[in-house]
Amino acid sequence: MVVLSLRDEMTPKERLEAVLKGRPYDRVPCGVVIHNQAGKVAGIPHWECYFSSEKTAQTQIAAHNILGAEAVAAGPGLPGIAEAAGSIVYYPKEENTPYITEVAVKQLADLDKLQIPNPWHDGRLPIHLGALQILLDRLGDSVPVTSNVAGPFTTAANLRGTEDFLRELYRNPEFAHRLLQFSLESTIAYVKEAAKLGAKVSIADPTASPTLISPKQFREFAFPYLQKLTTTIKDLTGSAPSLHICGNTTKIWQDMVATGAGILSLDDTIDLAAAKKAVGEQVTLFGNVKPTATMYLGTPKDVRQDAKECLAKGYDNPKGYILSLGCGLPMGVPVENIQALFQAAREFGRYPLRLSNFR
Amino acid sequence: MANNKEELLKQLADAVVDMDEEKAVELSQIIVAEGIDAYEAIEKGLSAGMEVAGRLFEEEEYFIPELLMCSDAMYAGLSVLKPHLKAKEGAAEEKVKIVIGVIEGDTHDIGKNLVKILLETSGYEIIDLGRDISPQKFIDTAKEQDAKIIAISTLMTTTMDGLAEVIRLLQQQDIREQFKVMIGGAPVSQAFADKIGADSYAVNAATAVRLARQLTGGAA
Repeated sequence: MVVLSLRDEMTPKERLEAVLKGRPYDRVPCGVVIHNQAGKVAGIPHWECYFSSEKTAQTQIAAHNILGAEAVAAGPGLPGIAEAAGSIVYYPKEENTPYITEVAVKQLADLDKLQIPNPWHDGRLPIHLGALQILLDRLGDSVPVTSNVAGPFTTAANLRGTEDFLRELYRNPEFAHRLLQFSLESTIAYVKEAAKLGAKVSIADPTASPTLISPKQFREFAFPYLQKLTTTIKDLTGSAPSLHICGNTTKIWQDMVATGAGILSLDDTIDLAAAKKAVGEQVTLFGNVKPTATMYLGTPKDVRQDAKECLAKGYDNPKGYILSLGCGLPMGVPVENIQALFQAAREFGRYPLRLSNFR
Repeated sequence: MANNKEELLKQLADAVVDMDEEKAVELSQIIVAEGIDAYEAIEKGLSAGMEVAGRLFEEEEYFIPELLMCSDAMYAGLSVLKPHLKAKEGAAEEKVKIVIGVIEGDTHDIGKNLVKILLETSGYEIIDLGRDISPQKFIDTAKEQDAKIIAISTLMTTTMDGLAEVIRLLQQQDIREQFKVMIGGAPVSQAFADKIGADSYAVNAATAVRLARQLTGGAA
């Protein structure tokens, strides 16, 4: 009986670059970014990370060193740009997601008063940039360091209030476009600084999901701004960003590709094999283990099975495949499930990739 | 006169489906002026329109912005017609009551709002608690209001257990049988609903209406 050596032969950074550039690699990368659980193993309460570059960085370093994370991240996330422009975010001390309690644009005229945030001064943007600096310094040679920004459509919704904003797509499209333009410019201001430090940038635009808006409205209100943002990110960081949109995005895959994104991060409600067929010649695919049913509510055995199914569908994607989740890693996921996922990539995703590896 | 009435009610339903708030108001005013029964206008005009909107939503023709606009047109028409409901229909109408809200710790409420709108236009009386509501509050309100259904929503995994907690509390307080519990939201599934002992899981707002009817024996 041959015992396979499961030790990696490449650094996470080398592996990711190889996959993205179509060069040989040792095994399928696992792209999950870990926050809360890493804080737990590092002994740092998640709440303190919101307000400290050092603690954010320490948590991410622990995620890499202790849990095996192959990428680290610090970044405005979904509400960060809107927060820096004036929306108020509440940070629960209990293990729960921060949320917006007050929007910056309560009436249409408020938009005229908004200023493009200064990334080194406004909101918590300086904290993210500070964390990125530390991470790039400590891990940048071997581990990809990313900052995650919301797409302009999501930021606009976070500035105006989602329900009102969605109504405005019909009632006042001119206003909606002005708000989207402001969101785009605010995001670019931050991206410029993150890129100067040497970070990569990824985009998440959940409010633009087909769960909320039609493909027609996506094309009019979300696409143009995503395209401009993606082009800017590519120019400044050298890499076409990954784009995550939650929900069943089947009807907008072509549009997502047309934004210029290099990687499509896809929800567990879609079929990875169908995505491969539709857009696999054009983009790298990322996903799509079930975050709730498998990672949160399942066992390590469920995780391995889910990972195998994803690998079986995605491993031979022409433009490359990265094993990950269909959406964010839920806060309460047991550590052993996270470890099982990284282990699955190592064990089943090993070169040479064959369908029989995943049976 | 009959043709005129049917024509007007059809136009009112269309105004809702066409998201035309002004038209809905205009038609409602005409309906009142013509002496047409307000209750019938609400049922065959406004509710009928929202039902079509709900169907278009299920068919992925209409999305959230469209539903919001339809409901705005519907509520605009309703504000004109409601004052003209005959006292018998307005007050003594024994509508089935549903307590609805987003569970404690969660503030995502668009889904819950759409469920509320569709249930309301289907003839239920909705007590909307809003968002970030403690499990006990759902129960206390349901008892106070003599509701038949408790409908709870969440968008996040961190707050899912709150849904289970409502059911646990109902059991502890020996009143589980008194209420039907319906749950929904992105991380929720039929499997989760079964696991925690909920009566129903609704995948979207249109389904919630059908399930409410089943849970109350088709009473509304």
